[in-house]
Amino acid sequence: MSTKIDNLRATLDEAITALAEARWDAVLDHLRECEDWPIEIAEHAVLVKADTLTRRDAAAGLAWLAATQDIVLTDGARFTRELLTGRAYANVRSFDAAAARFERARRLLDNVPGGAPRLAYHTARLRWFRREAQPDDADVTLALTDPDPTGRASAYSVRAWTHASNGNFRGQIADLRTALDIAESVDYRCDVAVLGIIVFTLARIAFEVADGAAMDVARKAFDRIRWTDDVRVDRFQTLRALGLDAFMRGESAKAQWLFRDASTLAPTPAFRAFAHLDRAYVARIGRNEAWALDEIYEAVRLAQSVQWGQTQGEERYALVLLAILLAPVDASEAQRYAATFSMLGTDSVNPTLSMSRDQRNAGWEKYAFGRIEQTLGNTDTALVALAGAYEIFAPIEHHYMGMLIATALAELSGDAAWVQKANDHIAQYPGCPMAAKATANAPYADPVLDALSPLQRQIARAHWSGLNLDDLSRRFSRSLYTIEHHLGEVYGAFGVASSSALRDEALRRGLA
Amino acid sequence: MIAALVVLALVLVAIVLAVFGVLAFRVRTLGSAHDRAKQTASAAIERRYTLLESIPDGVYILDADERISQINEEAERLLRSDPGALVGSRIESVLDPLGCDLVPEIRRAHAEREIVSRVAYFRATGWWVEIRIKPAAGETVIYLRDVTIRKSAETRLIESESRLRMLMEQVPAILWSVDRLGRFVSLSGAGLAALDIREPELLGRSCNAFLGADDAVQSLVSVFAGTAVQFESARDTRWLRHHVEPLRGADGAVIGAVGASVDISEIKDTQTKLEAAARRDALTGLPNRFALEELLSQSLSFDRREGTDHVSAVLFIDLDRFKTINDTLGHRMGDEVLRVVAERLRASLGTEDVIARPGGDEFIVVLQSVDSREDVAAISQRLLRRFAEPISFDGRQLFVTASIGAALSPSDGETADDLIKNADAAMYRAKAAGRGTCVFYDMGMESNALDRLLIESDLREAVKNEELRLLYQPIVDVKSGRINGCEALLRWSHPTRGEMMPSTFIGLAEESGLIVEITRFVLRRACTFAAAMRRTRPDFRVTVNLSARDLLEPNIVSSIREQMLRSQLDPDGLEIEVTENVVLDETAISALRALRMLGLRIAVDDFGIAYNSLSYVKRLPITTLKIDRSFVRDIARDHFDQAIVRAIVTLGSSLGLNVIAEGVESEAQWAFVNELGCNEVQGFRFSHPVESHAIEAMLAAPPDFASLGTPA
Repeated sequence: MSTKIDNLRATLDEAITALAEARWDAVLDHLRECEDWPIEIAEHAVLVKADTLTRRDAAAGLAWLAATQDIVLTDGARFTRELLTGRAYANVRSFDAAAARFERARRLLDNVPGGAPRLAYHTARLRWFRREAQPDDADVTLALTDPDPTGRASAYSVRAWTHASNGNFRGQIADLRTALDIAESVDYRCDVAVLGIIVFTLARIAFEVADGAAMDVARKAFDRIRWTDDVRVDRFQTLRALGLDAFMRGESAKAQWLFRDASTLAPTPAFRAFAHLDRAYVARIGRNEAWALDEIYEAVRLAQSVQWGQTQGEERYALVLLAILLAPVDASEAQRYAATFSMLGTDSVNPTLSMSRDQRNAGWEKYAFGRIEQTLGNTDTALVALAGAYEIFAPIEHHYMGMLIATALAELSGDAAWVQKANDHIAQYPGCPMAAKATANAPYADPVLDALSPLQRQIARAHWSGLNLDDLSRRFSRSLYTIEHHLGEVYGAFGVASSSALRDEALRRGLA
Repeated sequence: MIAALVVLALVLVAIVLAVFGVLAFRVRTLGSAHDRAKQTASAAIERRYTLLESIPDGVYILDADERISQINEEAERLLRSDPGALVGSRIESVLDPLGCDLVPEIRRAHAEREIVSRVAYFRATGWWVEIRIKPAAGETVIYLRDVTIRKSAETRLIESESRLRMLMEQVPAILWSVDRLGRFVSLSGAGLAALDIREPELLGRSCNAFLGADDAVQSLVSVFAGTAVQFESARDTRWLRHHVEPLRGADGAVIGAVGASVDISEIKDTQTKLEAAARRDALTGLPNRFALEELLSQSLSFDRREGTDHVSAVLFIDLDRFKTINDTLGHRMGDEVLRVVAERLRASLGTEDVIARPGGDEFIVVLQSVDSREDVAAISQRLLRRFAEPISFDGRQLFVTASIGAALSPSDGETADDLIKNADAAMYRAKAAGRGTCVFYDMGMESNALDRLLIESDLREAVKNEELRLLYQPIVDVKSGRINGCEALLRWSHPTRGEMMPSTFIGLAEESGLIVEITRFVLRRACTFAAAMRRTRPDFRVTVNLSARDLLEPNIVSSIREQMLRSQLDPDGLEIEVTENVVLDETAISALRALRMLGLRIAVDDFGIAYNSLSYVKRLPITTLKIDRSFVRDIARDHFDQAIVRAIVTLGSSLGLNVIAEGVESEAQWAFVNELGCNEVQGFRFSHPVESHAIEAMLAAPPDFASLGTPA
């Protein structure tokens, strides 16, 4: 009998390790039918299972917690049970129910040694959800004293978010770095799911505000964390942030490898398209338009398989990026994606941020809207939206967004002041190969180009982007003869006699 | 000493010089060796460069520092670089999918000392490039082979091969070729086995037998003339479809033919079955309407061609009340009836006559050769008698009758369509005439009166089935509220159309002559009712509406008198009401005079709205004026209406006429018509039209109309 219990105890330990390593299927596999285990360990096992289920699907976790109520008997276990239930409620935005659970946990506190910081973490997190938390709140401070490294790292992560809500992104970075320092001190043997979010958040914000040292911390953690499929979204997003960082430091090749890794890890086709568009962006800035086209068309292929109405959150931004990158090549197709994005709307693009006081959410929405309007040719609305986005990002030193917006505004308005602003942001990234320049108003409109047929426009753009006759013939599924004919028309329209002259003319007109 | 020192110095100098000299020599020697080595090396590089250029693949070489040390033209093309631009560049800085993007694989190849190879596809350009990364001591060689053409050819080949294989394996086809003399040169395909054809037996022989001798010769002539042909031929019990094209030699001249022959027996079979099915009614096995029209057209054109003077007849047969059979006894019974009828038709008619069932309970018979109308009538009668025999089904005896419409060719139409349409119209006449009968088409019958005919036949049924009924609306003494009589109002409770007002069907009844029967019904009922009431209320009267058409009926007066006699009703118990605007004709007026002479009361309805109202008062033997309801409606408010009513009342009283106000619905209206001097009133204020027994009840226990609100 005791051997059997020992075996089950070993299984439970394996499950606990698997939970910390974000191998959730393994946890559930170990704990299959754990509710029938001997009572002395069943209690602990059902809670580990509840923790795992809650992370995947709050509703499933709550159902499990309700079904196993009679197994959880000791005060310590009941305390954990209340915390897990409360967390699940908080995750599905049932804040009052969550608060009630935490209150029940509080009443058990006397009999749960060391429970106070854990409870404090959850109440602080809930208060942040409710937009009520401040960095110096008592429960935030208490949570930071949790002796468990995962708990302490989580507490710093929550305090980081309260800083972000106040627009204090340096504070956010400092706390996230502390969280990762804690993880490092135990050789990253913390809950991988918790670390994943922290690393991703740090990488993204550090990149935005051009904090190289913080980026190094994120990169180091990224390399050390043992990632699993259950945290692939965080891994994917971190890879993208690292890729953009590499790019802005002038390491284009490294950026491309990171984005390629991201594309293989991408959890959905929309995210995969994102990674290809990142590659296209880098290739285009690096003046390898053929490569850029290649990635864009891969993204188009993926985008066509996506049910955009079903997508959530940031996935939809792929449409914006797609429209922006596609516009110079195939304006009508770009407008189609732009129209899809405006039809879907920007609601729920980032539920977490929209819930907090974070105004960057509005900034991203304005930016997306502005670029979409730009693609659709509505210059005036685009200018207003983009300027609004700039007002949000510039004061909080989000240099990457600032650079993107100022560049777009420079393109749209031809105003040298925007060029200057864009370059100021770029200067924050040492080694960045980019330099903004003002191009003509409405970069995609041109009287000569507009006079051509849609196919001829596409052929012209693809041609001065570097595609030769054979490439064009394959790309547009037309015979060489037809392509030659269309190119003849294009040359005639622009008054040039060679492909290099055409490219020069396109550059002169601000089209290439 | 000094000399020794000098010697020593010289020796030292000499040694130094010697050493320098040796050193200088060494250096020179070394230098030239270096030069030689350099020459050798550059030659090697040169050789290697030449070698690289001679390779059709793209090749570039990375040194230990991951810099491009050498690159050939093809690689430059694939990397889209200008000649020589990449030499010396670190590979990481070469932003290209065939450059920097390969670095992780290059490093892996080095770390694992293994060749890494893969094929990359470039969507935008459609390029396929085979990449091979070969690590060597201190350097890496990258081979890039453009396999686009091979790949696309491969793809195409795989596609066409698999298509062809599928064709050969799945389709029961025979692919063959013949020489200029039509002799088989080759035969292949899954169809050979299916058709039990052995290739060796046919090779070298003429293809005529295989293709179906007649068609083959003609077809091959066309093919050899340069056009592709397609035709079908029968082979034993199988059908083959052949597609044959000319086979041309290198000089373009036709040197034979290639063909594909597909077994289409199953398709043919299905086609035949489908065609038959499309032309037959599944239940009775009789031709359907589609087949019938064809048959009839054929028969008609035959008539014309022969120039014969015999006639064809189309009989349109519709079973009577078949719907009732279906509804009450079920579709199984209905289907059985249809089958029996079809059998009886077949048994009663000659083999050359056509019987068809276009649908539902309709049958069409085409009598191919009859000599006269009388023949057709005799045959129709025979059919009707056959139908009349009971049908036994499930122990039940069922009696079915049919109505037949007949149309004759050529007098009633020359096309199949016309004949059927006209026979159809005649059939509706037969229905209208009381069913179970045969009616011949005549020019007066318009099939577009179909709907009317339908209502008409329903109406005939209604008269028989007593779907018609009378309601009575009390006529009340304006002062006392006493019920003096009532107006009889006709209603038709149609089984499917619901309650119908006279206005919707009286016109039709007049046109069809049914009005006579309806009027007779109304009079019979009204007289009986009036007589019954007068047993307790001797001054009670019933008003009956007659139409203009009624009054034109020659024996209307005698029929009314007969009715009154039959019900023992005194003349003053019946009031005939006519509508002002329909009383036009002298015949009608004289009929009214005759009725007045008999002692009946005559009322004019809707009085006051026709422009010639007053002339009627003079010309007609009127006893009662009924003021049109439109004057009563607003009488409480409208002074104009009050003036008209007052004028009518004045007119009526000066001529000694009874004046009735119709449509009295309120106390106010009642008060006004009372004040203005009307004698009697009628309207919802007192009672809606009600059943006879309700009137009876009102007379037995008179309602106190006054208590509901006495007129002022």
